Amino acid sequence: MMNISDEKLAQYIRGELPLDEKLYVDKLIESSPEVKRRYEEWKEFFDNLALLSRYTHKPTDHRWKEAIVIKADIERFKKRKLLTEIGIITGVIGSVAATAATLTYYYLVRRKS
Amino acid sequence: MERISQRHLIKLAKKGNVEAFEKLFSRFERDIYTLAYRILGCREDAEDVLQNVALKMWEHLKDFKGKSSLWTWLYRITVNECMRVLRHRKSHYSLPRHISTPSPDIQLEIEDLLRRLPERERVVILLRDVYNYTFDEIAEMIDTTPGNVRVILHRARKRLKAMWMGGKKHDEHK
Repeated sequence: MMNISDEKLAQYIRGELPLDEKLYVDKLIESSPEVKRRYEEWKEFFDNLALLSRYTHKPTDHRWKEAIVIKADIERFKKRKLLTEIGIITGVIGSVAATAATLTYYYLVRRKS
Repeated sequence: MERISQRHLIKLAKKGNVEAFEKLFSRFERDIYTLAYRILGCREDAEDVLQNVALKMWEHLKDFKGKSSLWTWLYRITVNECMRVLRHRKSHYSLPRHISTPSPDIQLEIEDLLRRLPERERVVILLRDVYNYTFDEIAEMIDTTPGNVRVILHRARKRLKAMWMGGKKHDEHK
């Protein structure tokens, strides 16, 4: 008696069998009413399962929007803070450099005079 | 209303435009939530995942080069987040296996049956038979081998079909 496992029938419907095995199952379905009945059961099962991809649920909560706004605010704050710190550091370095230049200038001028 | 192209929204969102990001993410919100809900079987957890996916997308959008579609990229993030929740859940609590909420809608009935499957089987059958991922992709997402995915899938199909047929017989006897 020709027989086939549920696993193979499922793989056949989902297109997961190599060609030779697919052809074998084609023949079985044609020749055995019992295999055909089981095939139709599995087919109905997969058709119903596939329905899920066309159907979605609506979230009741949109917390993610608030979370993104907060995250963006934090990032903006950090960026501004960083820019301020760079500004301060640049200012300090600039002042030190200017003072050093002034002192050097006076020192050189005095030495000459 | 004018539908702004996805590419344009990505470009703006990458620059930190919150409004563009919201518009972009809203297009995927329902699908992400649905996938998470189906994997986790719990609305609150699915909403947490939705929020985490939004935050991850905001953080990493600049790294998105467009090699795969944005959809595929978001799906992977969603599955990873769900797996993280499942791992965490394992050590804390588990959902009741039998939830009897009879529904006239076939989709809801299948979702109810899916919730009764063990977590790994639920994830694998959803990714393969509903969302059509390949064995290799699923193996990568759930951190196992493609061979193991096949084994889990076979068990899941058999178990779900048995429940489905059981439910049908029960309806016929009514």
